[in-house]
Amino acid sequence: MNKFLKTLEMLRPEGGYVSRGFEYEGIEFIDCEPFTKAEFEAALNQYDAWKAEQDSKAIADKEAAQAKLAALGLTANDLKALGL
Amino acid sequence: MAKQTFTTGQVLTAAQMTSLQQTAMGGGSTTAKTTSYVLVAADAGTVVQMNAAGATTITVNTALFAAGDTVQIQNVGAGVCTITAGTATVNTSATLALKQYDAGTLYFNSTSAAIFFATDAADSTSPLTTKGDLYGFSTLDARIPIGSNNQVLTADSAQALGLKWATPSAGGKVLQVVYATYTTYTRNSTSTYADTGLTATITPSVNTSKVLIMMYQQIDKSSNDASNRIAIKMLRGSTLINENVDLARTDYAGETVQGYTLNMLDSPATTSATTYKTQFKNGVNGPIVDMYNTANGPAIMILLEIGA
Repeated sequence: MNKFLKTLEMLRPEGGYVSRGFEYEGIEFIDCEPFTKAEFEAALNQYDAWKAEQDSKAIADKEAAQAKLAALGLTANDLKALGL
Repeated sequence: MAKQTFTTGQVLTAAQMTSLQQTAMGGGSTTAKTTSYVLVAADAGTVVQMNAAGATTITVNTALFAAGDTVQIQNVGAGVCTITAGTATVNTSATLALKQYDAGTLYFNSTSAAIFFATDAADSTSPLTTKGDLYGFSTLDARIPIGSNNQVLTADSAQALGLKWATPSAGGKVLQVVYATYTTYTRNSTSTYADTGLTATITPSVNTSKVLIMMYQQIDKSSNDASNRIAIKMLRGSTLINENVDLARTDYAGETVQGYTLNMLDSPATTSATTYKTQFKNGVNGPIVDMYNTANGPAIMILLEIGA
């Protein structure tokens, strides 16, 4: 999925818009707060940094969860066996 | 030479013999007319030539000519010259309205009855009057009037001339095909139907026709929720004719792309331009659904008009 769409998801994670093509002018705000073209372009430039931050956070969260499991004497296979 | 009554011992001059020869060969003296004219007895055996720009008549009355007399009629003018029965009767198998350069012979069966024999039979006997008329025949040549637009000539023994113009049967045929594509990537992240952008318009030629709809779109759910679905509906104008609300069903909690094909037969019952289009939205639980339309992988709609 391209950066345009990912940026839309970053700005409006709950959706509420219709977009056609990959230009700001193709965005139709239906059930969400509109943003300006300048705001969108700024977000587009910030997306890579934001994504890296999200990825880092996901890795940190995963490592924290694994540490908690280990403290309980559990593994990921134990969670699968429980259907989680 | 006008008709003569010769007497015993009469000596004919060279001029009289020449004139008589011309008459015998179908020519003879001409009395040129520029206005409507009433035949007189002296016209027997002569050529009456009409030459007028406007319409004229040549009137035939009784008690002027003997049985066997003839008068040649010619029209060299642009105006139509009509041979008109005055007190005598005039019959013909052709037309008595002579166009420019039409001609014929008026032959008297009696003093009160003449027959006009057109010498330009191919033209003067034409019954055709209107653009597109056809030459038909029953026991006589006759006119088959032009039909309406898009009609075809059909054999029909019940018709006087054995032919008629009729609208062709439209049964069981593909009458037309409409092909449309849409190449713009489209996303709907609402729970309200939005146009996918794919649309096609057809104007059925007959209101009993069916429309076979063949549609393909590549759909994508971007939700991380495995229970997310995609809903698509097909509309004729604003009328819902098909709806699927449970597409992209999968246990996979991530982006899922699949092709969606819809083939259906519709009965629009109209000859007006009719537009078909698709709309899409989230089915359940998902914030985002996409239509993967690209230049190399467009959404496609094909409409076929099928004769009833």
